[in-house]
Amino acid sequence: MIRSIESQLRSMISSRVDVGGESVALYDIGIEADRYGKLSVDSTKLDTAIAENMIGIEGLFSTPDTGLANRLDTLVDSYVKPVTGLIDTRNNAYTSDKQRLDDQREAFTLKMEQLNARLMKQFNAMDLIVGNLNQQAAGIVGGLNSLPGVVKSQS
Amino acid sequence: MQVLPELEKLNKSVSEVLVELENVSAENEIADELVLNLQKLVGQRQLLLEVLLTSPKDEDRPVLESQLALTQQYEQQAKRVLLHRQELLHLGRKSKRQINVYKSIGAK
Repeated sequence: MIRSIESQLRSMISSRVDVGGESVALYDIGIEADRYGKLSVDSTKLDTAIAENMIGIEGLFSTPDTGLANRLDTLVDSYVKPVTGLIDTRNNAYTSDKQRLDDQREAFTLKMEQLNARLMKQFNAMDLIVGNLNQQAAGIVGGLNSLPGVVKSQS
Repeated sequence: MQVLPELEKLNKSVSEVLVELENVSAENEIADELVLNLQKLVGQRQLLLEVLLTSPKDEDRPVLESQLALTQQYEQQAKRVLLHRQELLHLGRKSKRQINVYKSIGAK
């Protein structure tokens, strides 16, 4: 979004405006942008333009639709206008995405907790089963050892 | 040895439930029922073995040896299921920690 704003501003400040048949640009009144987009003022050129072509300067900024101030206003509006502006639209989409993710995370957490409880129940039951089977094996070994004819080791 | 046919029938059920438990996913609700069923069957088996072991005679030796082998086999199978549940619980704890991290990031 920032790059787009930069590019649009660059294009705007370098464009020419038709003022009563005469084409005027910021450059003509001593305002220039360097390759970083930074504006600088040539005071001598600006003073001359103010002295000799005030109508051109006025038209450069205020010509309906094409004047720089009007175009800037339209551009800024497209970003900051409530609800339909790009910033608000992005912000709303972000808020809605965040809410959706929050809901999904809550649902997932609940599902995980339920699954965890069930697994814990299965684990505890299996632990008891293993214990019981171990006890059964020990019982059978005891039974086998008690059979007649079994010589118990003297250790 | 009147308990023997009953014990054999029970052993068959225990074997079947254990095999099914090893094949069914732990997340499947059927696994809950199978575990409970197995617990019941093993409890019943304990009672039958106690009868069998009340006053064993020498001729009971093959039966007892066979029951011992079966019991040890069941125990191994049950341990595998137990271990699997333990691993899943461990994974669950790990996921929970991860979720809490995401939660704390989201709250910032």
